[in-house]
Amino acid sequence: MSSVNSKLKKSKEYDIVLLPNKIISLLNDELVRSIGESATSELNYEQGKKVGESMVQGYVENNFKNIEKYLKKLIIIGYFSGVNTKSTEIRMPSKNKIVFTGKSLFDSKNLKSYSSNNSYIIGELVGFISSLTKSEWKGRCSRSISKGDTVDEYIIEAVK
Amino acid sequence: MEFEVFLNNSIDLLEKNHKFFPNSRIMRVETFNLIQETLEKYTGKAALLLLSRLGELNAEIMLKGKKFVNMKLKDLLSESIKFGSNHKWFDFDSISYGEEEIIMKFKSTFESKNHSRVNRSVCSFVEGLINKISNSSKEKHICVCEETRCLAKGDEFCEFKIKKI
Repeated sequence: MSSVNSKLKKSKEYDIVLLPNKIISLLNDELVRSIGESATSELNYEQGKKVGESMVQGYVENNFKNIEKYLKKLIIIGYFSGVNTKSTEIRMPSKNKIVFTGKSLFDSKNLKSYSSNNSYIIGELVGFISSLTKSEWKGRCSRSISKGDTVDEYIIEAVK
Repeated sequence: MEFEVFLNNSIDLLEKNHKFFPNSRIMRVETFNLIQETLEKYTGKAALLLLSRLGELNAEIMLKGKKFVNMKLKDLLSESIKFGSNHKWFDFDSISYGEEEIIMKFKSTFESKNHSRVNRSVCSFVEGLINKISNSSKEKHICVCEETRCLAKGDEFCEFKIKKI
């Protein structure tokens, strides 16, 4: 156990900082104001993807039952930064599709850059699953509270 | 199975930190640096003020925790150092207390660690954080915090001076 933890600490990929969501959201809003929503979304997606990839640390897993189990475990502890741990449900309607339904942690009422925050979450999920399965996946936000839906929904699909 | 062992160990590491800030986000230091440098590029000095204000706000969120209530400055700084180290805001080195001045040294902060080399201090967020903390003690000292040395400008460590007014 200690060797894994020290490996994590030493790894540059795990050069992380923990900040309250409120701070990140405000920082994000400023970024949108400076470079625009689209550029911020792109930056967030790429950075979220790197975080997701770095969680996997080179391991490979192709058993979807296990992947589902890992995702649930990670969501419960709030590993995925933007996903609400209490309300998120995961469904895997097929081997090529994973659906996350719940409520994003971000305060959609006050957040100016809601969609670019979604990009970060999608990036994280895509990065994690792509890296773990060593195959290419893509993601999208299919329902959003900020657009009047009752839940946030993210769909991650394998690229054929 | 191997991944599951790795995962459980990662979870242990994160759970320790999540007890403090349940709604915190894991951010790569590199991502923060990218945002920091982008904001500096587009808004100049306003970015430094913004980051300093966000640091103060971060301290306000932290200080809402019961264990920080009604503490003397020395104890408050000591607890804050532990909290900040757990959240990887900085790598603490030492602190020295004088009559009118307190000097805090960090091997690095998350702002300076991977920042490109510049000719000024870059740890505005941590500066704002310490400023707010040092003005929130039981003794109600009025303090001003300033970063006097910074890893990003070639110093060996980041140093913050807290002056009691």
